[in-house]
Amino acid sequence: MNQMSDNNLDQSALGKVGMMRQTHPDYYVMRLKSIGGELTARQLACIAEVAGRYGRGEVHLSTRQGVEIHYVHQDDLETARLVLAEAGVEMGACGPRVRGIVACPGGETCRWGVIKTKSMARELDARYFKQEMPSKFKISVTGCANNCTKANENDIGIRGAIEPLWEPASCTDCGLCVSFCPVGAIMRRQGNDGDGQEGRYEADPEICINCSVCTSLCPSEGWVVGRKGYTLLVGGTMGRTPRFASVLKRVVESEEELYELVDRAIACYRKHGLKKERFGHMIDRIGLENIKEEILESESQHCRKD
Amino acid sequence: MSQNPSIAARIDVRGVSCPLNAVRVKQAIAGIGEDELIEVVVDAGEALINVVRSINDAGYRIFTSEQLDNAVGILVGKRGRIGRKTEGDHEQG
Repeated sequence: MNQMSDNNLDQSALGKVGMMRQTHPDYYVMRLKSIGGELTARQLACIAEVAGRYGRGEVHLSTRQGVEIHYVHQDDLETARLVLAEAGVEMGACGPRVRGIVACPGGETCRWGVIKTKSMARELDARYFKQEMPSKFKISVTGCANNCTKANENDIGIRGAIEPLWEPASCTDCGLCVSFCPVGAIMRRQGNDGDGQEGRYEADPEICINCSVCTSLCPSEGWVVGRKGYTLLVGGTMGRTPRFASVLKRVVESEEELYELVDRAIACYRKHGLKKERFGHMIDRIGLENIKEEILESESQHCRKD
Repeated sequence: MSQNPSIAARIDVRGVSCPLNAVRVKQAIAGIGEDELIEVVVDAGEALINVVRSINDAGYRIFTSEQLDNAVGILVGKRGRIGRKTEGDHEQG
């Protein structure tokens, strides 16, 4: 990189490749990308090497599962980037674009994970990372209702979800599900409807958080997974004006439909979003019902309405 | 259960934090006979979820439950367990 002062460097172009000016003149933060917080040991070794050679031998762990190398002189940015790229470490994103995809370990590792979050994070990265948006745009995938990667704080949040189904033939009427449902959605009703059951169990869909505790813990398979998929949330943000995401669709059953809906949500944001206006604030300005209608109404025919 | 099994023991793990509550419950179950039952009292909420999960994973069987004041009483036996899916069956289709 040429010897230049800060003023001559194109800061927005640097931001696009994950380099941010520090408070110290001529020094930069290198924001590195991880997909769902995944880095190999070799990549970490390379990051350590670069941080030692071009930074101050330290890294900063970001809130979005990324690693940042601070105190890199502007003359070293390009060399450091190339060394990192050799180990497969890519630069992250700053500015008004899709940021690194965040994900919990999900069903590949976690006992509660309903969906495979890691492979989904890689797919979302391939489809959307660094795409230009009206403002910063954050996507998170979380494996279940425990919500470890906080789907509802992101512009697009994807949360693994199941819809429980009661199986009278297997149910032994032990009543345990009424006790362990974390949100009290399960009720036992007296009397039978001619199927020989003395108690009938119901999960109130308005209260149920689609978490899979009942289907995982029932001792007799009286609760089974009826439908499984993804809850799609839109418009979450923290920052200066926090707003929790709104549910766009409770259970999206296929990945194909999910990506179509994400495409539609992004198209809607690009169409109506003002410069620097976050997706959620745009939704509040236009109205959630209008936005839902625009995104969901023209969903193609193979996709079922929820 | 076919015969009338007797309640051989009772363990109260209210106020015992996770995972110690689950460990104590499993130790207590291990101490009863094959056809006996044990009554377990555990706090409602996360503690119940962890203890039930641990009992299921160990292959023991919960037969009945009773809601108490902020707690739950369950009757657990060593046998008579219906085959159930394991976590590996949680895979995305």
